[in-house]
Amino acid sequence: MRGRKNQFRYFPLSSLVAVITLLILFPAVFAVFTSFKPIREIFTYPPSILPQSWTVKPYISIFSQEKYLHYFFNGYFISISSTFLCVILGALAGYGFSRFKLPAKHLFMLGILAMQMFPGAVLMVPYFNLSRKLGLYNTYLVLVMIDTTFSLPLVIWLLKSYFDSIPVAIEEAALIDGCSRVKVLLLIVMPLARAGIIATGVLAFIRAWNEFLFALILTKGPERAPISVGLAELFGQYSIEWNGIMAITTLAVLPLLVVFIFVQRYVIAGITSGAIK
Amino acid sequence: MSLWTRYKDRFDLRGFFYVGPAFVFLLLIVIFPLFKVFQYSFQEYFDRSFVFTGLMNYQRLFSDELFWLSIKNTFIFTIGTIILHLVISWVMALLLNAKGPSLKVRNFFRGALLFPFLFSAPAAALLWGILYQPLGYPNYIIEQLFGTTINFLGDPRYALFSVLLVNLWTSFPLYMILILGGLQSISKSMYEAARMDGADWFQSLWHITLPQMRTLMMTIIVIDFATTFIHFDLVWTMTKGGPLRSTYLISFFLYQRGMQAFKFGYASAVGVIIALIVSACVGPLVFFYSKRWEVKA
Repeated sequence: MRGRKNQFRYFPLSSLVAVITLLILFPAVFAVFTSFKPIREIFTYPPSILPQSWTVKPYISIFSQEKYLHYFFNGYFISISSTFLCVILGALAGYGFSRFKLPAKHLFMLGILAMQMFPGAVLMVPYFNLSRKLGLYNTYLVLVMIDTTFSLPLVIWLLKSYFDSIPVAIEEAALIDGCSRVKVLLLIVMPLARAGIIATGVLAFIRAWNEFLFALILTKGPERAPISVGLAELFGQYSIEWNGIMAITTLAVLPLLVVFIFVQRYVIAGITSGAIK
Repeated sequence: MSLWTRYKDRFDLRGFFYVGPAFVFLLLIVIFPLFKVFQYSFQEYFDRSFVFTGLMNYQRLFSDELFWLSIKNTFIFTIGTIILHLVISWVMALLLNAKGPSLKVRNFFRGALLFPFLFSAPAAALLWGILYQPLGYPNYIIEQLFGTTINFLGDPRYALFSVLLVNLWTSFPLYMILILGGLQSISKSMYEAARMDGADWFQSLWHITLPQMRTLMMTIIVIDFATTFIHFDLVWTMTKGGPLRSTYLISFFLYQRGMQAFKFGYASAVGVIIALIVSACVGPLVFFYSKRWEVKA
């Protein structure tokens, strides 16, 4: 009884939060509704949020354009590859930092902390120049490597603190029983650090999926460019097909939303522990 | 005992087997190109090869009006973003942290508010692009209220703020989550003690919450500065630096010199300046953390 009463007492506060949340989410909600409008309804006067007649034509027209299939495939391919690479490298390094006495460890950890705030954009000239020279221009490989590297500091940092929180005793027992280090890492530590691995993996995926600058300068045309470049191309084309544009945008954010809803808790814990330490 | 064996006994060098691969990546893809930027900045690219030109790029840069304009715009953009981030993130974090709504309700709103964080800059640009249209929804409301409309992206007076607003929208959730995490880590007993002594809500905010959050605030401001200062994506997508160069940011200047004019040396000099400005901001924070670790260890 008391609990319910409390809920009512705080009703004004809850509804204030609800109203602000709705206002903040309005652009996204509006976009989704627009993607279901027929063209003649896009700029009506006065404007309406809901479509008067719903249509899925904008979505169908995306899938009939080969260009966008390319952009989406490239986005998935690059992001998934770099997520896996990043988590593997980051887990190895995080484990190394957590369990071994290494020389100048503090210095390395400081370097990693500083690298999280590194202004990557200043490297655009050497990236462009070197990738042309080495024949890496317009390849998946160069984008996967760059996306991986820019998420690595964060991933190492987060996973090190996860491994620190796992008691060493379990590993020592396994090592005494003759289990190899690599096996210990794969079969004992990684499963225990599951939450950390998921959180870092999702963060790495979001960052790779949304990366734009390097994808812009290191690719040419839809053959290798990911969806972020495909989206940017649509802006200011003076086309009136805003419903199609909103449909593509919706599709481009959907995978992140689906992943995010399932692992929200881990991701929030990951973000928080990354900055406060 | 030789130096080497002493070294080997003190440390466990097998650790390098684990740390090594990640470091190869960081060396090849961050450190080496960074070294290249410094090198290029003393050269210029003519006829498909680099020629040493000494400090010429820097001399030209410092007398380049466009450079100073972009620096000015970038500082306005960055400082405006940081201030608005702090205001919005604090308000939302305090609202979410307020006693009252059940944990489930709070977590739902927290998740919903994090949603804009998932949008890439081009995606966010498109969402706001339709709202910024002359016939868009915000203009309809403004017209009803004031009888006039705003050309959000076409008017040099509003363009920078319009872009800033979009950037604010996609990035404030990160800072909100960080502040919320900080608020939740403050021990409840401090607030209880303050209440016993008769402190009101505002007093406990001022005397307990703010002092406890000092380190986090410093970290947030530095992270925000380092990421916003080189912001590129939205400007490229939405305004291309215009109208009348009102959204001409330093990153866009770097992009134009390097990727459009192919002045690799000149662009690298811009890169060096950006790296120096960001380091001047990040450096003290890293130094602060190193001191704190020493105390802890």
